[in-house]
Amino acid sequence: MWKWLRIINKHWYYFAIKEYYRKIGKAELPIMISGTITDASGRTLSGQTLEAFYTSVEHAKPLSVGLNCALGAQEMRAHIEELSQIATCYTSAYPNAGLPNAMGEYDEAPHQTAHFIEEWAKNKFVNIVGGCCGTTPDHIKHMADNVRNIQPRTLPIVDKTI
Amino acid sequence: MSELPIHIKPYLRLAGLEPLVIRPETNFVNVGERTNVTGSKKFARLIKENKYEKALSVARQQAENGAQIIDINMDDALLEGVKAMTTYLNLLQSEPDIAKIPIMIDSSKFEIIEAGLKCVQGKCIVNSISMKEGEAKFIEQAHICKAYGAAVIVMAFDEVGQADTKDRKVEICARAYKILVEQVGFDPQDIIFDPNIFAIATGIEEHNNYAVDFIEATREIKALMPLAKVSGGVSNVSFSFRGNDAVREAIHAVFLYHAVNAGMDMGIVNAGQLIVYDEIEPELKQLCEDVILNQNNDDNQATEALIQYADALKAKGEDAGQVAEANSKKLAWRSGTVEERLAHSLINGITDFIEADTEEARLQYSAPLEVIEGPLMAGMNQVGDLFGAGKMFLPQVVKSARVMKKSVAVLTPYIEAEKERIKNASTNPNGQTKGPAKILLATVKGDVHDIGKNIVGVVLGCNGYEIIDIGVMVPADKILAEAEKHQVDIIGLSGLITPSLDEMVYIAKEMKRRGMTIPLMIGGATTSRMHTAVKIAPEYNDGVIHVLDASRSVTVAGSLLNKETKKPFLAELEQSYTQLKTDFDNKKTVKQSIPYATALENKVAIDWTGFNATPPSFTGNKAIEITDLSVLVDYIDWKPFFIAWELHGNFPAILTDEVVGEVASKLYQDAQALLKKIIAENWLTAKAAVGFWPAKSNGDDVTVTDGSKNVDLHFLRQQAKKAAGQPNFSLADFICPASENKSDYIGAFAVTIHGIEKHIKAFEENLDDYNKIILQALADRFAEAFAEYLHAQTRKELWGYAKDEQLDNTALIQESYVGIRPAPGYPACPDHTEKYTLFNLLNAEQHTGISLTESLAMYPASSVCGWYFAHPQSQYFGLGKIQQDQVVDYAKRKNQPLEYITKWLQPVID
Repeated sequence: MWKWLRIINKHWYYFAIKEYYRKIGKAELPIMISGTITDASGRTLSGQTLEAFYTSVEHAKPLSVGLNCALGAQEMRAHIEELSQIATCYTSAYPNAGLPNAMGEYDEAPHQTAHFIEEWAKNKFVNIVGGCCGTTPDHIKHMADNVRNIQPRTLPIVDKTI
Repeated sequence: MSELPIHIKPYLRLAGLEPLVIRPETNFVNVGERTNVTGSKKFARLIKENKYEKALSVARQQAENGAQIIDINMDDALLEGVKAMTTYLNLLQSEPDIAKIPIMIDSSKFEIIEAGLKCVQGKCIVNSISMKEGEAKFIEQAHICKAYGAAVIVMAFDEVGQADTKDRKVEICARAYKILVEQVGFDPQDIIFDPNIFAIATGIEEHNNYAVDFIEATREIKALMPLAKVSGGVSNVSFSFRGNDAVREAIHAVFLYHAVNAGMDMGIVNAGQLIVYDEIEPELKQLCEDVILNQNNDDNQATEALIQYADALKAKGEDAGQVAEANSKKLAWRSGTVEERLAHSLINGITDFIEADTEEARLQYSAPLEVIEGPLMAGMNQVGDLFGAGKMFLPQVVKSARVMKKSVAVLTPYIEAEKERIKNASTNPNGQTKGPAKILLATVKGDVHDIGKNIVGVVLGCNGYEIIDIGVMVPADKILAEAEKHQVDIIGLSGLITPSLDEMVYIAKEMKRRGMTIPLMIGGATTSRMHTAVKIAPEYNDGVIHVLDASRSVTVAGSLLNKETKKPFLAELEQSYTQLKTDFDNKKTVKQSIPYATALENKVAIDWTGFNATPPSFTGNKAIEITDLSVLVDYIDWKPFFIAWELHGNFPAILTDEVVGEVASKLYQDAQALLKKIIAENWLTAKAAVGFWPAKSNGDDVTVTDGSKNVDLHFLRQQAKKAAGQPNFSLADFICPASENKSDYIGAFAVTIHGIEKHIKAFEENLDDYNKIILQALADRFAEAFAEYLHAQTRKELWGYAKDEQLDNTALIQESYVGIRPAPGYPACPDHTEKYTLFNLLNAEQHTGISLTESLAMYPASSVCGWYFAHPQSQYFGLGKIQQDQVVDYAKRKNQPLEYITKWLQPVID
């Protein structure tokens, strides 16, 4: 069982989790963290750059840190690549099926989203993939089919000395 | 592809909005020290006088002067430290040019540190924790810091006292390091030591070696614990030369030169006052070297020499720092020029002095109009800029507008008199000057909603436009006649309900027919860029612009009214709208639809065999009136209240939001104050009609037995192709079919809030848009709360199908109860004309005083109506697009002409 959190980058979320496990004296359940780059400036909703966001959540020693939504896979690529370079934990990517059109519908077809995901997997940007807004079971199936035989990203080596 | 594994180094990584990584090659990191009430008199005064906005400028200066981290300290006996820290940090988060750098939360009280930790996003530093009260407390505090993800400064302080010699410093730091790493699980790179910088050259011989002790301890700490960092409060070292900044700066530069070479990574400094080691006057530099390194210092020789040098320097002239401090005292805002005071009042929304200040300005300027065109407009332009830059928020802007109106009210009689005088003195008709650009605003015919329009009016008014607001439910002809009469420069239309869209198209056509050439702005919840591009813009050639919200209205109006930008702006807009329209026309329907007959087969699968309807406590309709609105307060959903003010986020989280928390909290306080008044003085009355009737479904119709006659309700069914096992929803599915031969019921309600007009008028007369808009938004909240309350009463008593329900407000807002209350005109049943049937069944006009406009909006605007469905499987859904076959069938069922039905269902027809 995993705990899933949607992040508005408030430390007391992690604080509550960490303190809870410390106080009850049980082993912590893994935490998966996903953030959203909300616009073309490459920042989260609260204005942080990706690296600042990662730096702020790293201490929670999450199982994975990743991105979900917001501008679609095409716009997410550069950010997920950057994340794959700095994250010591697993990385996840759940793009939405592109931006909705003015009628609120998503035009990106399952094979299109899956194609982006496949390329990221091949480039070792990601360990966990999925879909956010506008994706359907069919999108997920296409993704699964496309990444099934690809080796996931290997974790970086965390040096003990400078 | 072959790749080398990525290596990640154990650097200290901090973050504000942007990251700060401290690598071996990173130079000394400056921590700004002026945002410290114990170190800066100016900052302390601003905080004590609650001038937090001004106090932010102290932080901004530090950032501009190159501070890479900002140290914030609120330790003052006269301050509520927790509150001051929370307020200041929350405000600071909304200033991107400050919030970009990491924060250092500085306090000797851990409760203040914890309060700070709750406010900061990013990875900050806690300054500081220590073992002075024993290991247990140290470990507990370290755990808390770690759980918040902060790096910590550990002061070289233990149960015995503060470490002053090199050996004691190293010993305490090594002990703390071991505890933090081994027991608390701290990452070594997140540990920063402060081995205590003490004042030297005090004349006391034991103090002479303090700088050397710090420097040598640093060297050894870095050798023993290479991942840990060393920091310190640099100003302490020169404390005995306070008042003599030139000497202090030199001491700091020399001290840092040696300490940084020994491994000191960061320090708390006055980032604006750091001087370069190589540029210190040579004699002074040598004297500082001697004092800091404690050389040539037998019998305080070096100290004496530096003191003599300092005295000589001081005698040469006034110390620059003292002059600055004295000046800043004079600058308390009430003693500024009248222009500054007016600007301050406008920006901060202060009405207390505005009348006196305006009068003072009027006497200084040669004409009263010049006061408006000069200082007042200058102040409002600043407000506009701050709002545009995201540094002010809507509630603050509305307050600024209130101040502006009050000031203008003082001047108006004089302006009128002046006009009269000029008219009498001169017969020259050209003597008239052209006033500000005029913008006419109206909510279109059939629509009664005007909160958004009022906000746009206020915001545009703040930006120097003359607003002519002709109210709600305004027919096209009147809008255009008024526009021509006042020779306005722009028309702005607003609407909330879907029929208003058609009315806007009609107005655009009429403008073309009348040969008008002024631009048309379109806004309101139901409008969209797409609809504007596809339906409205093609009808009028001189500019139709969809404006998303009040803040955009300013730039749009600005672009339209500037001769140079107007053409390119409209050309670009036309291009993008044409593109949107082309895309829309070419768009292949992604979603497949199915024939209506097939959809009708694919109903919600409800097993009616074991079904037993709960009979309601009465059938027919009933009026309910609430005069004490306090019963509704708990049912208020605050989130939409904040959305009305363009503050987006969940309640109550929004009150502590990093960016808008401060503004939202103030707005909430003001709303609560008005709410209390409304209740205590019985401003408003809530009226409702509620009814229940036996009902049975037949396809998508529901037949209701109202006394002796039968009335048919008509519903629509989803026609999109669904995945296997997914039904095509229709609300009729939730009523037991006639073929089952069982009893079932349907309910209906309409609620409204009366009494707002009188108070709106009073606020208008008092030039108080701020409270006017709060009142309107609160009335809307009360109507929704009443609907929620009545639904709960219905579930528990009036109908009584869920007698044992126990839900709190959150559960209510999340709609985690049995049954639904969909409204005609909304996604599950988008046909507004069914409101006629609903109103007739409820006798709603008589019971509640709500009337329906020709577009079927309800008046008063703060009204809600809907159907009650009780079946446990009933749920909300969106109808989506329907096909022509269903439209034809629906027209037949309703016995209405196809054109009439097509007009009303336009938005949902594919």
